[in-house]
This record gives sequence, structure tokens and C-alpha cells, in this order.
Amino acid sequence: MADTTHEPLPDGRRLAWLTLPVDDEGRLTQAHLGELEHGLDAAFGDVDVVAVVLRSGGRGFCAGLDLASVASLGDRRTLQAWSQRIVRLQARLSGSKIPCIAAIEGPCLDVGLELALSCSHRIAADHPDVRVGMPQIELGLLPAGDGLVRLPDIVGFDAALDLLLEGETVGAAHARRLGLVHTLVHPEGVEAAARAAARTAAGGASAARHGRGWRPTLPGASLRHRRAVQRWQEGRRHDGALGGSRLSALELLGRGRVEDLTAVSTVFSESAVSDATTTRLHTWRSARALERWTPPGDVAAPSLARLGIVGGGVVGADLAVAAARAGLSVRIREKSPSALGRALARVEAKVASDRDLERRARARARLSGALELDGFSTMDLVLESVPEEVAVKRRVFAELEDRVRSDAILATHPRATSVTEIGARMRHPERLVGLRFFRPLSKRPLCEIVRTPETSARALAAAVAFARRIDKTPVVVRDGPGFFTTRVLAAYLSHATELVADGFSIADIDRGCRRAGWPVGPLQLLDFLGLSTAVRVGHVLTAALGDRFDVPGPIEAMAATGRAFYRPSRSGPDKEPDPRVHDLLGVTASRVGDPDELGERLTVVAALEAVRCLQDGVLARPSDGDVAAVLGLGYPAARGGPFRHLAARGLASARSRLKALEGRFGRRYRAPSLLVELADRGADFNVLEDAAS
Amino acid sequence: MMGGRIAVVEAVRTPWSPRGGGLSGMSAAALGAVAVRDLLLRAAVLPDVVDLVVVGSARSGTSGSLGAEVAFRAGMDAVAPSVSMGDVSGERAIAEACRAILVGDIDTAVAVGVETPSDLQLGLSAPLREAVMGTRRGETAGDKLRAWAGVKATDLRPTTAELRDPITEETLAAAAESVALRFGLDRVDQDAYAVRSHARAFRRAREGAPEVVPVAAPAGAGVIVVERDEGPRGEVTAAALARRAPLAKVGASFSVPASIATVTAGNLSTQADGAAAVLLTRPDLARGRGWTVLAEIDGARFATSDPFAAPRQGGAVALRRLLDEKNEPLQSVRVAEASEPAASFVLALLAALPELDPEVLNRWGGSIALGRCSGGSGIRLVGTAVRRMAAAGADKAVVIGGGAAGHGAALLLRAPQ
Repeated sequence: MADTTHEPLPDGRRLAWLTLPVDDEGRLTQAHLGELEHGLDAAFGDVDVVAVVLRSGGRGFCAGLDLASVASLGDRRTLQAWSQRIVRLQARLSGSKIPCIAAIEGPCLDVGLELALSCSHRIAADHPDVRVGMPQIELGLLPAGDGLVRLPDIVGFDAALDLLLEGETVGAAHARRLGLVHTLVHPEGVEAAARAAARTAAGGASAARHGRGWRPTLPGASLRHRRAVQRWQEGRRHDGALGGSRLSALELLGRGRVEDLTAVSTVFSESAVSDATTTRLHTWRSARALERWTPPGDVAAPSLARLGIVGGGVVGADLAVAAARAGLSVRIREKSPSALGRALARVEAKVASDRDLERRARARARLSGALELDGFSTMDLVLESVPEEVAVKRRVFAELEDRVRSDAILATHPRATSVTEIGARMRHPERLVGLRFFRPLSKRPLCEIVRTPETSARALAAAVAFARRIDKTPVVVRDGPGFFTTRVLAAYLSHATELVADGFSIADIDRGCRRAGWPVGPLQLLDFLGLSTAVRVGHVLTAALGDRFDVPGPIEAMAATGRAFYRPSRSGPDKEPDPRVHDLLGVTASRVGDPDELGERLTVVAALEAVRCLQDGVLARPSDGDVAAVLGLGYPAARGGPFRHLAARGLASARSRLKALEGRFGRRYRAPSLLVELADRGADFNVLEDAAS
Repeated sequence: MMGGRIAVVEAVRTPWSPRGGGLSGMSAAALGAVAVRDLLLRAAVLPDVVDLVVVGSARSGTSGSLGAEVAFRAGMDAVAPSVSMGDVSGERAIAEACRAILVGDIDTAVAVGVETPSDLQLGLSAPLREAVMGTRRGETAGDKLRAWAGVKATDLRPTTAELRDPITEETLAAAAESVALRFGLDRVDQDAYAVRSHARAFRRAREGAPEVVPVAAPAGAGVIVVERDEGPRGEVTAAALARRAPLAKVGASFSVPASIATVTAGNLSTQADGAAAVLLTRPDLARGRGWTVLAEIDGARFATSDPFAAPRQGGAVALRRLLDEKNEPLQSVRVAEASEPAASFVLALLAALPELDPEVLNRWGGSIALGRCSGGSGIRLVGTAVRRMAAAGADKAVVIGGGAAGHGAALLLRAPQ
């Protein structure tokens, strides 16, 4: 509700406190917009009101548009009209005769930031919850209001490019430095500071306004802007991240200050109905549905207050910090003192990087490490992340089963081995569940939950609750070698190595995949994961599922020597493809491939493996695969995941495309029977969506 | 302490690490928290079961709220006072916790002892302090400047408090020397005791002491895990100790010529970082909750001996008083643990308690080998006595604490019923 409180001031006049009408998640819907307009009418219509303070009901401000309603509108005209209303609202705020003050206590994103930027004065709480920026460009969505025009005016052109095109969000202090907010105050002092600022401004003193002076009329200024735009375009073009929305934003920015704000609404509505955005919104909506999903059966998730982690590698240490931040007490067990020291050093580095004193202090109070399993009988959940060797993992669970409470949940972090195999010797395999996380943990918001036929509903509920607790989207898959993510990734990576062995250049393959929308190229990723690890995973999967996961023999020999695809560059800090790789493989890097075609081929190979996972029953429904691939593996978000990608132009067309690919490049591209069957029926993957739920 | 017994459910300690060693990067609060957290995990007791955390420390922690710091860092919200009583602060922490349980205020408590001498407390020299205060008081710039007139370059060096008995103003070496003279203790006996202390503590550390929990301590940019006591050395021999020069630098009150001095760095303890903790509750409650009881505390007594007339006799006085009250003959004690800041103090203690069999005292080594950790000492002694009692099948044990300023403490432990 946009409720307005008019606070009487000592001089008889009044101060209007306008509460931004937003939903539970701090987002603005279309209906809210009307309330906001009415609120402003009431405030501006009252001659005694000397200033308006915009704030949110809870601790927050406004986290952007309600994306569900953007997705459901779908109609360009409506969206354009909506955007025009926002632009008009902003004009009323910025053009008002009385000062308008934004009191920001939490996320101030997208349309929230745009509204705040229209106010004459912005006050932010000095608290880590305050995030300021325009991240919706990640969904391909441009600012709904006049942010494209206003932002460069306030923060300067270069910073505006980072905020608008990179979707960078900044904390309160950084926002103050950029000029996005004028005043930083203690979280408890926001209201008092807003009142003081309102009275000062109403008393005639001019409200602080310090922009970076974007003055397009200055001679040479527009040239500078053009250079900035050029630099940005060149810097980003090579990796294909520059989507259509970013280009139209750049185009608009390049024009300098626009007086006609209808252009803003036009680019917004165009971006909102573009394929790229609707695809990303689809993934976003599927992910949101999964976040709300609860396992069938009325099994309450057990309380999760204490977490034991066995194995303090990168995954273990990062998870420990994430769980401690979420309020769990965490104990890491690592066998050797040196490994424990390394794990805790990593933990401490992560904790120390938190700027907020309270969160740092609380996290430290919840984290500890040990060489023994003392106290693991108090743990609600114990997660094992020791190196992938079935015997080692089984030994850990044998040790744990002797220790933990009978109602504790045990989880394993497997790489490729099936969870059933890991838990084969357990006395109570029903309490075992697989939990897969992805590196880097902070950037991969997925938790793949692997359930075996024995996994109890209670264990599953606990796994889902844990994933949610640490802000990861849970996707439940059925157990099997490689489950979902590892299978898809292994098929994709092994094909990339095949292409290298066929004589395609490393640079072309990686560039092609990046252009297709993968965050890193497959060969870069292999260097990061370790080629020998990939070889081992390939063997495990090939033994169970067929030979499409093996890397070619020469590459396997190369892995044995510890060689990588990239080497440190001689000319700079970056890495460059190692030209000796092809010599080693005994082929000449002579095949000229179109990078875009290579990228598309590799992406299709990944998608086909996803279809086989659905066919084998590993996935319950296609949307699960889409979400898991995009959030966990970095599958091109613009494609919306493997299923949406294949079905983009209908399955019949996909089938014929695959036939052509198979003819040219072999049976890797053979359409899985499920796809053929659906195409024959003239159906889409969507028919499997409802069948499962 | 009034009648009634208190169950010791669990006792752990961190390794003892001589000043500047592996634990030197830990603050007192952090080290105390490790002891508390690991104590509870070892006992498989959830933090919210504990009603009271009493932290004893002679001089570590400058906030005055060391107890609260330790409790917060261990993830607890229990009431957490800190107590300070010099070298018997640990014993005092146990007594406070027991008392609160016995009067019925609370059910379950943790007593912690911690000392981090590596965390040096630096001070200002007297002229520098004067100048700083003068600057603050001065009204004009001239006043402020004049305040610095008397400050010499050497005054800028920070001062560290030299550890002296606050009443007699003796250093530890001088006090050890004066006790040796008073009791007629010779150098050979003191050195022999020190050798024995090292050999025993070294054997215990090598065999792996279950009461010691590893500590992950910051070291440079990384973290090292300190697993065992760093002080005990296996190669210490009487011959090597005999070569050491006496610390004939003497106290303020009297002087000892080097020719008759007997105290060397070899038969004196060094300061050590460490923390120890015990979990205490009512015996019936422990039984009801299914907790194993390691031992029961049957009484704690404190005494003050005149620091000039009867230096370092507090422990013996307290023990006599306690055993007289409990009607326990000293001859029947088969397990005794005492602090040993210097070999001469222990030999003097044995001289004051002739009925006590010297062989039952500190069988697993003591402070001369491990290092002296004022606040942690008393709780370490209880933890060691409890385990020695179980190992030897003894029905009781005594813990004797004592130190500067005439402090003395004694505890009587019994095997669980």
C-alpha cells in the first residue's frame, strides 16, 4: 500500500512520508504504480506539505519491477504505456517544487534506482543489505524509466556504462562515491536523517546535487562519449556477451542527451518482448517455481541448525562459509593438519572479505575446524566432500554412520559416481542424498539434488531446505552416473577435445562457445577443472552409458603429462593457447572452422545429452534441465537451456537439422529417440512438463 | 564451598605454546572460544544447554568483558562473567561456576581459563604519558608544545610490564631464589626436577593426550594447526641444565650473590599461551541426561599466605585446610596436580606437605616443561587430574594452585559414584 503519512512540523506545515508500494520481495507491479501516483497526488496536492520522503515499508526500498507481470504482459503497447507512466512519475518527482527525498534502507535496483534518481536528495543506510544498480540488463531488460538518460548525468558516462550494461550493483559506500546517493547514515538513523534533510531543503537551502557534470554541450564532450561507447563495444564484442538490448542501449547513449523520452519507452518495450528477454524470463520463472517447490508428501524438513562437513577442499570451505552466513553452525573435519589449515585459511579469507562487522563476527562464531569427528553426533546434516574415490567416500560414511544421530541426514558431493554406489555399504542408505554445487559457488546459484531410489522423503526435504537456506535453486534429479550436470558437461567437454584432435584451433573452439553465450570456453574450463579429472570422469561415464564421454586417446596421453591447453602469455598477464598441443597430438591445426558453427555444434551436443537425461528419467521434466544447465553449467542463457534451445524452431526442424549434422559429423549428433518420437507426434518438450507434475 | 558435589562432564585444553610459539597469533577471546567450543562438541552438548560461562584470566583481554567475548565467539548466549585472581584465576573460575550450581541458580556451567602472554600489552613510559596528558590538558598551542619539553628519544620506546609479584615486587626468578634459600633447596635437586618435568610432559605429548584439542591459529597470511604442546623437550638432561648460568639478577628486596644462586632459566617456567575448559553440572542432572561423568568436585578452598613472611605457601595452606575439613589424610592421595612456576616452589611444596608421596605429583609433567599459563593453569590441572585418576583407578585427586601475591587454591576431586 502506498500509504502517506503527513507529519506536522513545528511551524505548522507538514512533511509527507510516502511509503513505496511494493510486494513482499520489494518489487513494483503495475497495480502499485497507480497507488504511487495517488500517493504523490495527495502529497503534491496539499499546499502545506513542504517536502516528500520516499521510503519502503520494511527495511528496503524497491528491488525493481515485478518480472512476473512483465513476462505476462507480453504486449509491446502495454509495456510502452507502462514505461511512459514511470517516466511521467519520474518527471513529476524531479520537477517538483518541493524537495523529494529518497530514504534507501535495502536493495534499490532498476526501477527503484530510477525513482530514487529522480529525487532531489538520496539517503542510504550504511548497511550491506543496501545494493544499488540496474541488474535487470542481465535478463536483457532495459531500464523502464528514464534511467538511461538520467544515470550518465549523475555518475558520469563511464560509470553509467558499467551500471547500465554490465548490470553491476554496488554497495552503499561505493554508491556514495559514485554520487548515486548523497548521504550515508547508520541504519537506525535513516528516518532522522531524512527528516533533517527535508527540513533543511524546505527551509530554502538548496538540496545537495552533485552530479559528475555530464554536459553534452561542452565542446569535445560528445567525442569523449563516443570513445567510451566505442571502447566498451570493442572490449565486449569478442566474447559475444553484447546482446541486442545492450546494443540498443549503447545506441541511445551514443546520441547524447535525448529530450524526447518516448524513445526510452520504445527501447524498453522492445527489449521486454525480445526473444532474448522472454527466454531469460522463462528460465527465471522456472527457477522461481523450483525455489518454491516442496517435495511431495507432507514431510516436514528437519531443522537445520548444525552442519558437519567432511573434507575441506574448495567446495567444503566455500559451503562452510555460505552455510555460516545463513545461520548454521559449521564444523569442518579434515584429516591432515596442513589440509585443515588450508581449508580454514580459505574460510577466514572469505569471512574477512565481508565488509559488515556483525556478519563477520557472527560467521566467525559459527565456523570451526577439527581433525576428528568429535561432536558430529550433534549435527543435523553432514556433508561429505572428500576426493572422488568410491572406497574413500564409503569409508567416510561408515565412520559417520557410527557417529551421527539416527535422525541426521547425510549428504555426498559426488563428481560422477552414482550416489547409490557411494551409499551401497551403508546401514541406512535412506538417509543419503547427493548435493552438487558448482564453482565458483558465489556465481552458480544451483544445487543439484541427487535422489536415489532409497532416499527418504525426509532426506530429500532436508536437502531442498538446505539448498534454499544458502540461496541456491534446488533441482532434484534421479541418481545415475554423472546425474544430470556432469553428464551434460562431460559430453560437451569431450566433444571439444575431439575437435582439437581433429585439428581445429583452440582459440576458435573457445571463442565460438563464448560467442554462443557460454561464460568460458570448454578448453579453458578443462584447464580449470583439470584435464586428468575430466579423463577419469569420462571413464566412469563411458563404462555406464556408452563411449560418448571419452576423450580421444592422444588427449588422454596429453593429460597424463599434465599439459594444459593454455599457457601463460609471453606478452601480458593473460593466457594464450599453447601452440605445442597440436604438435603433441600429431595433427596440424590447419582446419579452418567458423567459430560460430563450432560453438553451436558444441552447444547442441550438450543439449542432446540433456535430452538423453530426460529420456533416461534422470530429469523429471524439461524445465528442470533448462534451469540446471543455465544456473549450474553456464549454458547460454540466451538459449534458455538445452530444451528450449532445441525446440526454439520446433522439434521437427531440430530433427532435420540434427540429421544434417549427423550426416556431416557423425553419430554424436544423432537425435535421441525421445526427440524423434516427439517430433513425429508433432509435439514439443512442453507436453512432458505437465505429465511430470 | 558448601557440601554437595559437582560433576565434571568433560575437560579439554588447547596445546600449551610458549610465548611467541604457534599460538601467538591468537587473542585470548579466540583461544578461549576454541576451548569452549571443542569442549561442548567433545561432550556432544549443545551450546544453549549451558547457563553460565566463567572465564578466568590473570591479565589477558583488555576489554574487561573477556567472558562475554569468549561466549559470543563460541556461539553461546550464556551469562559470561570473567574472574581474575592472579595465578589461581582458573581455580577461581571453577569455584564460581560450582557455587552457582550448588546454590541452585543454574544447572550447567563451563569454566574456562585462558592466558595469552604473546599478546603483549604495551605501555607508555612515564615521561611520555606525562606529555600526552599535558597535551590534552594544555589550552594553548604553547602549553601543548611545552608538555613535550622533557621527553627524550628513549622515552618513546613502549614499555612492557615486567612480571613481578605485585606486593613483594620480586621477579619470578627472585621469588624462586628466595624460596630456595628459605627451604635450603640446592641446584641439583631443582635441575633434576626440571629434567623429570620435561621427560614426563614429553612422553605424554608424544603418546597423544586426549584432553588436548588442536587449534587452527593464524600465522602470517595462512593458518597453521597446532596439535600438541610445544614446550616439552625430550633431550633435556641434568648435565645440560647444570651448564646454565643462574639468573642472579635479583629482586628489589634482597640480593643473592651468583655464588649461592640456584635458579636458572632451566629450572624455571616460561610463559605460555593456552586455554582450558571444563563442563560442570549437577551429578543427578548428568545422569538424567545420559552424560558420562569423568569425576566429581568435592570441594575447593582458597588461602592467602603472607607474601613476605611465607612466600608461595598459599597452595599448601589451602590444601591442608580442605583435607582437614573433608577428613582426608594426605597420605591416601595417589593423584596430585600442582602448578610449577619454578622447581623450587614444587620442592618447597613437597617440604611443606611431607606426607604427600612426591611420586604422585605431576606425573604427566608440569609448567616447567609446558610453560606457565597463569589463567589456564588451574583448569589444565583439573583436566589432567581427572584423566590421571581414571588411568590410575584412583578414588580421589587433589589439585594445588598457587602463585604471586600470596594466592593459594586447592580442589578435591573424587571418582564418579
